[in-house]
Amino acid sequence: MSEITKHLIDIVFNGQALSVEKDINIMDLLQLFEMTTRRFVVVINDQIVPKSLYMTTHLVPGDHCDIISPISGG
Amino acid sequence: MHASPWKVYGTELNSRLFIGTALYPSPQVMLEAIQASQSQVITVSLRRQTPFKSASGDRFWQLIESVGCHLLPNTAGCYSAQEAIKTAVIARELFETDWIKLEVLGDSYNLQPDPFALVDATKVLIKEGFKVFPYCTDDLVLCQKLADLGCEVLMPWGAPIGTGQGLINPYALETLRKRLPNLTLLVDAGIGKPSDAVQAMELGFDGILLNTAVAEALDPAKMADAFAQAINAGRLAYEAGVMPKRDNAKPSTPTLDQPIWQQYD
Repeated sequence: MSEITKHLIDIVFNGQALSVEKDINIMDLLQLFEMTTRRFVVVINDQIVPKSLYMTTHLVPGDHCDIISPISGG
Repeated sequence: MHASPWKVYGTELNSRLFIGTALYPSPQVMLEAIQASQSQVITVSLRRQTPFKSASGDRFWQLIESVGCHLLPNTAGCYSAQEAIKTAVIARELFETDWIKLEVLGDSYNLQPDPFALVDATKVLIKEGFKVFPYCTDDLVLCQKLADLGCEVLMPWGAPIGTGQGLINPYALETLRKRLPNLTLLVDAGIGKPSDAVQAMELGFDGILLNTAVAEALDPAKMADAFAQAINAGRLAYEAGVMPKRDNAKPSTPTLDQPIWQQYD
């Protein structure tokens, strides 16, 4: 295992495999994708994460993290 | 003249048309159609979005915020009570409303609601404090069960979603109106043209929810206006009281003291 991969974990992000930094929190993940100001809900392993917990919620290997956004509907 | 205002879960509305936000050729056309419809309630949905595409979700959000309508999120695409419940909970957080258009489908060919899963999901969501707007079939017993669970609003289909077939079973819809006189009833799905909406409103339905009939018209804004007028006309006719049908003709001009008397055999 290289030095770089030692510091990465595998998660499932919006249904797709993604390697992210170990101990990354939700706020960092959102900043990574420049999503901090948008309208969305973060769901980890089927649980909604309140905005107040973005800084203190850290991802662990195997987490399923979904960003849910508004779309048109009938 | 405008039909009387009405209430939906305690919210007073003037327009009796709920309009969907999907399938328009462009966001601008959607906006113009919503404005022309005079709707005060628009339906929306939610999906996972890949981060690089999420800007479109944000643009959509800014647009719907700008129209200032009440939002009715749906659980479209759910095929089990569990999926629908999860979706409803996320929708409440995302759109900051406890209104939910509950869709639980049972068949992918005609997108027919699954009545059993719908009842299961309704039971849970009402306990969780949601104001449930179930998209259901026109089955009387199902509708009675949903009302017994605490639904103040029911939204039976006129025909399968997106078919534009109009009211396939007016008898069933009329029966619902007669048997559930105190419930708020909207026809949701299957409306193709304004005369379908008039028919439903003349039967005594309180409102109409539609999307495809406007979004897929050649001129969506003009069609939205046509539906707004039709729905108002249908409601006015219902409030005014439609004359009963007769088997025999009855002259509208009085025959008494007619100056030229003609005797017909």
